[in-house]
This record gives sequence, structure tokens and C-alpha cells, in this order.
Amino acid sequence: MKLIRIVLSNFRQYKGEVCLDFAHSDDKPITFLFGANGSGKTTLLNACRWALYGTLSEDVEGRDSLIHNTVWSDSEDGSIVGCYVELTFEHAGSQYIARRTVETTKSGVQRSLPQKLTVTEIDEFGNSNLLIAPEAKIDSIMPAKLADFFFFNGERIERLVQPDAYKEVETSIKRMLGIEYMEAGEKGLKDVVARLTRDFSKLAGNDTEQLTAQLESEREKEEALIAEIGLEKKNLSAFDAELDHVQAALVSNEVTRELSLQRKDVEASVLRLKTERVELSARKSRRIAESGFAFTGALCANFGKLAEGMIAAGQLPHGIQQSFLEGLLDQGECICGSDLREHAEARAQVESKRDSAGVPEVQGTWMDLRGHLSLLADKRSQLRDDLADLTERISGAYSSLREQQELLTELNRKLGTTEGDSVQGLETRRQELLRDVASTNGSLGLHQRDLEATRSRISSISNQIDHAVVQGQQATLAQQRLQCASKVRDALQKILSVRTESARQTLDEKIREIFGKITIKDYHPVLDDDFHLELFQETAHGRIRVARSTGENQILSLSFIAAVLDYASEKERDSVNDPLGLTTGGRFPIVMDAAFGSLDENYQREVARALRSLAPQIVVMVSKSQGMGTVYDELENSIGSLGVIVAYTTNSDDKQETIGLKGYEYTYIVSDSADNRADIQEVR
Amino acid sequence: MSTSNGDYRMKRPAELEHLIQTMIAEAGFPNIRDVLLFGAFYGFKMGDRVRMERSGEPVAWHTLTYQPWSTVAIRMMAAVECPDDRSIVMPERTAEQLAILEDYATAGLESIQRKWQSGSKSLAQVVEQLVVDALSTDDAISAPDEFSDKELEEYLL
Repeated sequence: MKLIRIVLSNFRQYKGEVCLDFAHSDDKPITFLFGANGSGKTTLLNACRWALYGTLSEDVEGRDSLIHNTVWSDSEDGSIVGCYVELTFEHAGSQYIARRTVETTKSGVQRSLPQKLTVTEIDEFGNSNLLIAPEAKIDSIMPAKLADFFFFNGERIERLVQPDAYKEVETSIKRMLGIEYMEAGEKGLKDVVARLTRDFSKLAGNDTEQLTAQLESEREKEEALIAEIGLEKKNLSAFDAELDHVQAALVSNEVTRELSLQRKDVEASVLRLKTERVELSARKSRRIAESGFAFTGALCANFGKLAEGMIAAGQLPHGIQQSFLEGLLDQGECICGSDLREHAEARAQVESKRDSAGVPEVQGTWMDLRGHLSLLADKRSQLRDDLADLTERISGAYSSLREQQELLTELNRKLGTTEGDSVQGLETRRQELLRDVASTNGSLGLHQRDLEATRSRISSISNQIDHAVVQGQQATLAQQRLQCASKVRDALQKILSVRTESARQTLDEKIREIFGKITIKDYHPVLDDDFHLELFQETAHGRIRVARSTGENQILSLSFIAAVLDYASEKERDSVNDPLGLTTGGRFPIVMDAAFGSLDENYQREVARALRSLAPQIVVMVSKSQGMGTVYDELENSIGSLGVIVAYTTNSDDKQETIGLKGYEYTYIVSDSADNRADIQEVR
Repeated sequence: MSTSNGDYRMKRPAELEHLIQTMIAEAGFPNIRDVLLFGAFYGFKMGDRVRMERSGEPVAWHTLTYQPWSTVAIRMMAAVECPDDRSIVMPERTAEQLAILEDYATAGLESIQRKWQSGSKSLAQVVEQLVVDALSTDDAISAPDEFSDKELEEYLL
């Protein structure tokens, strides 16, 4: 999708008809617009969005006031008044003109007004066609659910990396993959399975009814645990974010800087040692759990003695063959000359030997088992060594941990007794937060284990119900229905889990790659299993979470958006092979407002350099102070359309301003104007 | 028509299901299979056999014997349990071998449950202690429940 042109008519600040042609060539794909604060940059961003979807971003004030205020107030009650935005764009060889209009008979103040969308498609041969279902067409080209990623306000972009944003991130990704439809299907199937289970249990009898009651109770418990865990994770993120702020405040204070930095290092070390200890303990537990052979010492000894005894008696490896003894009995005489005829005393002894003599297969198995005695002995010996090694390492980690914790206590004491109200306040809050984190982590761990055990019980009970032995045609049919629905639900759950995890991993890699291109800082962004976007730094004490500055947050968010764009572009290719048509994707432009606002000069340069490669078409709107100099210089060669959003203001106190571009001065702010309005001046 | 190994299944004691699940959730056991083998060989070491009252969902032979040592040890266990029946080790008698294994697993797990419930140790600590004790007394010659030379002699002659 490429944006070609936008026309705004009496839309919010834009009075009369205002037009902008977007740059869209491959070599110069950037449209660069300067505009003062409040001039109409955010409105232009929202005009694109409104034309396509009829919505404004959530941060826009006075959302019902779509028609220019003066145009509205100057109109007489009862007269027809309106506004429109017309967006022209190209997609897949066709050009589309989307025009959204509001028109009403004026009465009092502006309220939510009915809108009308028309979309005209002009195909590659120049034939034009007014589309019957314009909303559906637009959604198929650039889904509304992705709009937040491509039309964004830089001042609000950081919310993507805020503690509670992970759900939004996860939801958006799932939408792109069509996973939300599958989730709805899975939820429906859960209900179906529950109903079929109840139906079946009524027909199957008491035991199954009891199991069904147990199952329902376990499922209720599962739901409650999931909700609890979600809340705890959200709380943890909020605690972590606040701890970052407190830590940053302590480091920025000259009195506490040194001790705070030292404490940060020790804390990282404590964390690493705790993790190491937990990992080693888990490894030890696992090693023990898989070691049923640890108890086979006496078993092997006894088996070995049996086998050795058989060898000594000549029964192994080949021993006396049954066929040989049969021959002697047939002859009626032993090789030693003893009488083996019927009723002879020695015959009974030889018959007994024949019955107990091994057949070759049995002897072979015995020999094979005997040959494995050393395997079991080696395994026990290896286990003994491994456990000794793990125990020593756990003990080592524990000692180091104790030392570091003592050091931490001392640093906490020093910082806790540092004078100054602000320091005391920060320290007290820090301790409270640490306690909250510890207790939430504790209960989270408990709930996660409980959830795992509950799910395991659910699976076990469900299996018992599925495989219960039943009688009667009706019960059998009900069981078959239940088994079928359970299988479909299980398959859907697996697909969901695989698709979500694969998307997360792909995005995680892309974010890291893009972040690495934007900044040279040795930070590693991670999109974790819960879709939290975090930044880590490698230190001598291992990987620690970085308390992020605004600049880093913004770069992280941009990297995320660029990764989503790249992913959407890949998904467009995949969607061809998606039989269900659930996957959405495409190559989309980015329209960004105030993307450089909070960045220092170095970050501005890094972001500007990276911007060119983030999307195939970019619209950048900046204020003079944000965009002049570093940003403009970096992007100049890729700018295909340059303009100024001129702010006209009735306020005579505002200073008249101009902006110098390409050797000419252009109007930037016009004060003492007849009305407040915006206009776009193209720079050629 | 012979039965393939894939058709054999080890039953698990339904009355010990909570313990089995807790061993997975809290003591690092990756699978039910590992719990059953652990319980069975521990039970055998103690010399106790208990018939389970009710069977839970069974475990397939190929799942149970995922690690090669387990097939060997299960057959050896049957050989030692039935010293006068040499063909008990044969694959076609897997069903009987599993019956022995099931009894020992039930006894072993019951014992673990008693130790866990009567003491203050966690389940992970209980199983760790059992392994440590087994390895420290792992002396093939002086094992308390081995056959005496006299018993062997009587059997072989």
C-alpha cells in the first residue's frame, strides 16, 4: 500500500480545502513536514486514519468536533454543514480514492455525527468502479487492527513498552496472525466439550458422573488460577517499572550515586547466583527423578549370581540342549551307560533336567541381560559422580550468595542511613517495592505450579472419561462425539500455541536485529514468553535488565513497530498459502508524528539513519526544534516531498515565525489571524 | 498371533494418583513413566510387593522403556523374582514382568508417600534421600536381599 494524496476539507483545524501529495518513489519515499506544536500534525495523522476507518486515536481531545470550529459557528442553525477527508492510495496495481464525509443540518453544538464512506477503485486500465462494500475492502487492504502500528504518535509510542502494554502487544500480534479467531473457536469448543461431557456422563453411569463433577471443579480452578496469574504478572511489571524509576533517581543523586551503582552490581550478582542455584537444584532434581536405576545395585548382584551359577552349571551360554536329552531318553540309555528306560530311576532325573534345560532363545536373552550388568553399574557410578558434582556446585553458589547478600545488607544499611528526605523517601519506597516483588513472585510461583498440576489432573480425568468402558448404543455414541470434539479442541490448542510461539520468536529476533542497527549501545531487547518487551545489558555479573530512559524506550518501540512491519510484509506472502484466510499482512507505510521529541541529538541521528530502512514509505511530522539540523540533514536525500504545516492563530501574543528551507523563508506561525486554522505549504 | 510389545501397558495405582502428580509437579519428575520406574525399583529394593486396588490410566510399554536401561532392569527383576522360571525374561512374557513391576511400584510409591506424609521433608527431599542412601549402600556383594550361596547352590543343582 502506498499513500498518494490527501485532501482535507474543513476537517478539524484544516479550514477550506487543503491538499498534500505524499512522496512515494522508491528512491525518495519520505514526506517530511514541519509544524509547530498544536499546528495540526496530529490532526493530519488522524485524518489518514479517519478517512480509512472513521476513528481518531484515543489521545485526541474533542473527538466529536470534526467540522472546523469557525465553519461550524459561522453557519446558521438549520443550514447544511460538513467536512470530509479524501485519501488516495495505491494497492496491488489499482488506485483507490477513499472519501469519508460528515454532513449534517446544524443545530446547537457538534455531537457525534453520521459518517459516509465511499471508495472508488481505478484499475490498471483506468476503469473506475464505486465499491459496494468499501469498509470491507479497506480492511482487506490494511486491516484496522494494525492501524495503531502504522499511524502513530511518537509522544505516545512509548506506551508499547510500558508494563501493562504486553497484553496489547500480544493481542495485536495474534490479530495479525488470525489467532484471535482460533482462540474464539477454541473457547467455543471448550464449551461444547463441557456440554458433551455432561451428556455422556449422564448416560455412562456413576463413576463417570463423579469424574465429570471433578473435571468441572478442576476447570473452574484452572480459570481462577489463570486470572490470578495474569494479575500477578501485571503487578510485577508495574513494580519493576517503579523500581527502575526509584533506582534512576538514586543514581542521579550525587550523594547516593556511588553506593547505588555498587548496590546495583551486587544485586545483579545476587540475582545471577540465585538463578544459578535454582538451575543447579532443578538439574539435580531432574537427574534424581530419572534415576530409578539407582536402586538396582542388589538386583544386579542377584541377577549376576544367577547367571554365573548357570554358567558354572554349564547351562549358559549353551548348556545341555533339550534335544540332546530327548535323544538319550529315546535311546533308553545314557552316555554313562545308566538305564533310561521307562520306570528306571535315572530316567526321572534326566527328564527333570530336560524340562529345566534352556532353549537357545532363553539362553540368549539371559546372556544379553548379563552383558548389560555393566551398563547399569556404569549408570549408577555416573549418577553418583554427577550428584556429588552438582551438590558441590550448589554449595559453592550458596556460599557466594551468602557473601553477596551480606554485602547487599551493608549497602542497604548505608543507603538507608544516608541523610536527606528525598533519599529516605526513595529508600523506603524501594524496600516496599522489593517486598511486594518478593511476595508477588512467591505467590506467582505457587499459582503457576498449581496451574500445571491442575492441568495435569484435567488431562488425566478427561482421558479417563474419554476411555471409560460404556454399554449401550446411546452411551457409545455420546462417547464418540465427546472424543471427536476433544481431539479437535486439543489440535486447535496445539496450533494456537505453536503459531503464537513462532510469531513471538520471529518478532523477538527481528526486534533485536533492528534495535542493533539503530543504536550501537550494547543492549539486547527481548520479547519474552509473556510478550513483555524488555531491554537487557551484558555485564560482568551476567545479563541484567536495563532501567530505560525515554530515548531507549522510543527506540525500543520503533524497533518493535519496524519488526511488526517487516513481519506483516512476510505474512502477506504467507497469506497466499493460508487456506483459512486468517492471516493478514502487506507492505504498509508509516505515518509518524513527533517521533523525535524526547530524543537527544545522538539518538535523533541514530533513529533518522535507521528510519529509511524501516518501511517502504514514511511520512514524518516534526516541529522545527525536533527536525531542523540533525534529523533533516540525515534524511534530506530521501525526502521526496517537503512541506510546512502553517499554524494560523488568533492569539496576538504568539510570535510570528518563519522557517528557512532550501534557501527560502516559509511561514511557520501566523499570529493575530482571523481564526485558528492550519494550512499546508509545499516546499519545492 | 503373537502380541507385540506395543500392546503391553503398565497399570498405575489410582489410589496414589495424587502422589504421582505431586512428584511431577514438585519433585522434578518429567513423566509418569519416571515416577513408576522410580517407585518400582525402590519397592524392589525394599522387597515389598503390593497389589494395587484400582488401576489408573496405563502407560504403554514403549513409553515406559524409553530409556534402554529400563527394559534390561525390568527383565532382570522378573528373573530374580522367579528364579525357577528362566523363560520369565523372554519378551513374550512381558505381561508377567509388568505385573511384577506394578506390584513393586505400588509398594515403592506407598512407602514414599508414608515417608513424605509422616515427616517434615518435601517430596523432592524425600526422593533425593532415597537415591543418596541407595547409592551409598550400593555394594553388590553385601546387598542385604541377595541370594545366599547356599540358596543358589540348591537352585542350580
